[in-house]
Amino acid sequence: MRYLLGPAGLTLGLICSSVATVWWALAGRGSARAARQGRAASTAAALGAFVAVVAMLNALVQHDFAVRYVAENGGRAVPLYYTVISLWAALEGSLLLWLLVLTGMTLLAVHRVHPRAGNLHPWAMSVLSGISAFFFALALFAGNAFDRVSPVPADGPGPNPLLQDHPLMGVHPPLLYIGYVGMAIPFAYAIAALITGRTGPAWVAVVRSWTLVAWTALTAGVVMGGWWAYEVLGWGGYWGWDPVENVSVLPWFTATALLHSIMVQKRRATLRLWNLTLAVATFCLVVFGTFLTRSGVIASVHAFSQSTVGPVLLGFLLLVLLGSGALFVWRSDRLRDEDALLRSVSRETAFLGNNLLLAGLAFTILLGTTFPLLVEAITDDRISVGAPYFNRMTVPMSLLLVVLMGVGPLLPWGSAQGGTLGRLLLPATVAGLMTVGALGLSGLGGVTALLTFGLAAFVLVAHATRLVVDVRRTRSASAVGAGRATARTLLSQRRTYGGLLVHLGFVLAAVAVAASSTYESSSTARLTVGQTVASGDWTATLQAVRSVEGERRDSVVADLRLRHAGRDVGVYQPMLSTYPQLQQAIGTPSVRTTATEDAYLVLTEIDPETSVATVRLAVNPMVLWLWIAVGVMVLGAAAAGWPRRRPAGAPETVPQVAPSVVEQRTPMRESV
Amino acid sequence: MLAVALVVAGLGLAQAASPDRPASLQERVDAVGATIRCPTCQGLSIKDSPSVLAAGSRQIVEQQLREGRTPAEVRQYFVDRYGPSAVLSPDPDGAGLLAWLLPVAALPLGGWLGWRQLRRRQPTGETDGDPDAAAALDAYRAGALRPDATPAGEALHEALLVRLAAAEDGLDAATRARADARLGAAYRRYARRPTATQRRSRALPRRAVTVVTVVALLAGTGAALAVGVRSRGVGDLPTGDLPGPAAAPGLLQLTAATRERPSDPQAWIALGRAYDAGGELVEALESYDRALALRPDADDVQLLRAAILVRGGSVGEALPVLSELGVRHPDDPDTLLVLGNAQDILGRPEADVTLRRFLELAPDAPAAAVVRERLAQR
Amino acid sequence: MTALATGSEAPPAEAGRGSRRRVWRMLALLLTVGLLGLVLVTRLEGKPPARSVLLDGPAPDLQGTTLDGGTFDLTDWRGQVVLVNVWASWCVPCQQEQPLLVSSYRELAPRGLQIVGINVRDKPEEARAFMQEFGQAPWPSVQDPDGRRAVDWGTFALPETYLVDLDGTVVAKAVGELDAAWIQQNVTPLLAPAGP
Repeated sequence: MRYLLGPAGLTLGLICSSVATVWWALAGRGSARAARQGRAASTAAALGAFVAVVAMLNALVQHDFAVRYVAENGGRAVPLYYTVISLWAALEGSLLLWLLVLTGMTLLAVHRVHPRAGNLHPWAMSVLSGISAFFFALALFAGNAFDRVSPVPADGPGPNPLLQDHPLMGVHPPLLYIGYVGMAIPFAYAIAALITGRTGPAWVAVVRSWTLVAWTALTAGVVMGGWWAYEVLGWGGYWGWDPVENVSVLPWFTATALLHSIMVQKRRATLRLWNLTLAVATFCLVVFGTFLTRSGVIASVHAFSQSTVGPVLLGFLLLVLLGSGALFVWRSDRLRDEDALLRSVSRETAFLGNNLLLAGLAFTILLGTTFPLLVEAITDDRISVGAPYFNRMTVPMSLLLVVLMGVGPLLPWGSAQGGTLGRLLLPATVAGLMTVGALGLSGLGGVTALLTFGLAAFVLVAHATRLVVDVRRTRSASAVGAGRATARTLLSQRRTYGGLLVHLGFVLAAVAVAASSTYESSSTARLTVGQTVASGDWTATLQAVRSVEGERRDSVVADLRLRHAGRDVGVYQPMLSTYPQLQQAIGTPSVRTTATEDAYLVLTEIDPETSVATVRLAVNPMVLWLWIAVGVMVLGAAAAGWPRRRPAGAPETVPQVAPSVVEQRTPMRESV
Repeated sequence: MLAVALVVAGLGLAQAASPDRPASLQERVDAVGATIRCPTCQGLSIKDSPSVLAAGSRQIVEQQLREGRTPAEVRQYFVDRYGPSAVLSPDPDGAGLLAWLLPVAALPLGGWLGWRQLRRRQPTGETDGDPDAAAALDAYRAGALRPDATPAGEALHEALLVRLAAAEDGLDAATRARADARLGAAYRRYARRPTATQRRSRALPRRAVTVVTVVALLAGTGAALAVGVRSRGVGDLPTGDLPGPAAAPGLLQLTAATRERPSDPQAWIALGRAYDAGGELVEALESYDRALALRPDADDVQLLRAAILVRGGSVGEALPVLSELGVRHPDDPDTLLVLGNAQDILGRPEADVTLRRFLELAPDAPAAAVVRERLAQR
Repeated sequence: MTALATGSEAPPAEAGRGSRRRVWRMLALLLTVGLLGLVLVTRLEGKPPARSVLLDGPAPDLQGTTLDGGTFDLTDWRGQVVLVNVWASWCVPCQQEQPLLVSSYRELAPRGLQIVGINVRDKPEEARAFMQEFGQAPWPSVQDPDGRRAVDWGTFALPETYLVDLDGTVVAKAVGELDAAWIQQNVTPLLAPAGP
């Protein structure tokens, strides 16, 4: 029964999403009945994906090794939590998760219609359904997880041991997928805008909230990945400039750029082409990343094994590029700017600068990641591009971005007056410079780190200045006390202040990254029982080495007594484990987190017979704040993106074909 | 004020940029190691990689730096054996130059292209203000105009704020005129807005969907995070101090002391002990060797040195020295402990005897409990 | 389709120029996308393993203590064909290639083949036990407790085998465990012909 249910769900999804593509396209041309049918088809497609995922989960949990995916990734000794999350441990299962998220978000997009969307909505739904159809076909034909295996093995090897080590593996991929799939929705609306020609305010209004949702999930997903790597992989870092990591973060840059430049298009009828390009580019980068991860083009610790999926994804990528490019060319006459921007210091130009830097960062990372490929294709030389290159290239651009982050909110729309601007920026500049000076004179080293801290102070005070200015304005408009004025300002400009909170979170993350990479220290020592390794204020003394044999792995554990500035803080147990299917031992680090620094213990070699262990004690400052920072960013994004209460009268079912009244009166001119 | 801040910042940066002590060998090894790729890994440097060949590579780097080779020569050694992919940055001579130049060139190019798209500032004449805008402003300031939560109302509120900002910031006439036009349009639209009756039944399900999704996501994330944070180590987070620089401050003074008094064995011993405590075994060995050169019959230094060899894994090298020391000082518990340890590691049968002697002589020593336990396990 | 119908109502001449510009842009688009596809398609088959930089160059030094306690120097064997095999007892594919090596040695040693091993990061007892268990290989193995000699020979991973010619040049390298075909293709041609 189960063997039928899975492929049946996928087939249902494939048929329904193909049909939905056509029906939604017809709805875009004006058929209300087609819209209703399209809605039903999208629901059925989501149901199909849901059924397939449930069938696979059922097979995994019941250890049904007749199913090929379970035979390759399941194991009786694996705990339940890790069995469930082994749904995305390998390629075929991760496709099922992708489909579930894609159809789920399509359903959400079908029901949450922006009142100004008009006929953008059905066309966007058509594009989304088309994408779903492609992935259903991929899951059904190229990467079928429900194939049967015979003879049925008695037990399976379990998922990759690295994926069984930490509960964060249950959080990182789903969040990441929501982020990626979420980027398909702005893309769909961009295509819809190109098809219908309505590239103005309606598109802007719709795209902003969807991009924000996807952006939030992507940010959280990427940082959770870094956290997982830090806790599991044992080399003490959270970002290795691995090729797969790099391509996974490229959409983040273009999405952030889009979020900012869309604010310009909200006010002025300009930057249409650029914004549409950003929305399309984000999704293309998502597909590109998916292709690179699953095709074997790049060797990486993240990459799934090579399979037939690769060429198909490449074809899809090229199709998307060609299709969107063709639409751009066809609609090029509608993309001219009506209200060009001025060459002046203003918030618009600050946003343009922001976009330039973000595009530059994305370009640099893309170039660095694909450079070995390109060089090898042309000259057959093999070179590697790693952390030293990326760090040296991205840090200056990121610091410039932080400068803009502080200056931007204080710039007015239109042109700035030098005197006013200088007055506004003075407290922040002084704060930044004094921070740099004070920290430098107090003995802290590292010029880049000091600049980061100074810029953080600059941004913090700049945002506070902005708040003060706004509160003063509110009070001048209506006489209320300072407290009430602050509350009213924050609430009425919730979107802006949510965004500013995200800035503060980003700056906190930058400080944490600068501190942990500049001030980390470590030492490695070969210890016998009773000996100590020391680094910074911390010491770790080896107390015992013992073997622990378990069902799914055999481990050798070192009991290390950790002391901070002489005071005992407990026994920590890093270990080296061997799993039956892997030759090399997997090290599990043990970390003590405090508010200011982490003590990170990892074993490189251990011998239970002689009770000798080679222990590396690393002290990483401020790492906790990186994880806190992403929470702040998510909070800010949620505050900025929380849907406004829409009053009644907003059309909910079939959107009108005719554009709204405002559009008719001023077809090209932007108004509120 | 600004000038003061600039000066302070300059001083601080200058202080930070100048290193206060020459980089130790370990730091130099790390710096070079961070640029060399681990042969078995996918892109980790030999500094970060835990693999076997990375450890061997690190030792080669250390040995070559100690012999006096420059970092470039060390990198060339690896390139000679593994090809150009052994180095983690693309070589500036050759195709790699593109990788360094393109991003640096792309930014100004992009900036120039963007600049060309912007229009030159044109002086605009004064335009008559929009009467509706003036009326709106007056009403708002008097408190008579409170925009409601309809889309028209929200638009009006935003336009009001923009207009107020334009007035206060003293912007140019064109911007003010634009803000005026916008406010006027928004005010007119507001006046025309339909007052619809509430139909609440439709609004709720959509809100609910959003709320449920967000709550589910947050709850799931929060639960996973809570589990993740809890499952590590012992609970509470004590408040800590600011992280200081890695090396102990005393090391600076001790090194200075040895430079001032190079023929004083005590200075070298103190420096060696400091390195020893900091885990820098090689430097400790060097300091002890200097002390021994000045005073060859210092048995305590011999013992310290031998202890380092044992800790570093060269037990075989240390054993003859330790045996001699054991013969000369048969009743010294420290000697016995290190000797017994060494013998134990090498699996010699005399280890038991030695360790038991140690326990007799120093039953309350901190290491005694561990030794007792180990003997009991046999 | 009303929305599409309200497209550009430009005069015919303008429309002509506009459409020609569009054709050029379409061509440019096709070209770029095609190039991208081409580059990526050729990479799809994955990379062949890197050709070792040591090939056709002089063999690196190899000196040290062997597992039996003696000393070894590769230059003593100049003038003979030598296989240098990098291995360790903790390396699982080495277990699989060891019997093949032993049988090849027995067959080819009379024709002039010599084999020496580099034993990486291993305990001598465990290495000796490994050799006993997997065919009692009679050739020496140089101890390499730090892994330095392996790095000196440009080893990426275990096991790897290098073929050194009579004049001390590295002529071939096998990455991963050996198979009979590689020995047949690379080693046998260098040896003296089989006796009667």
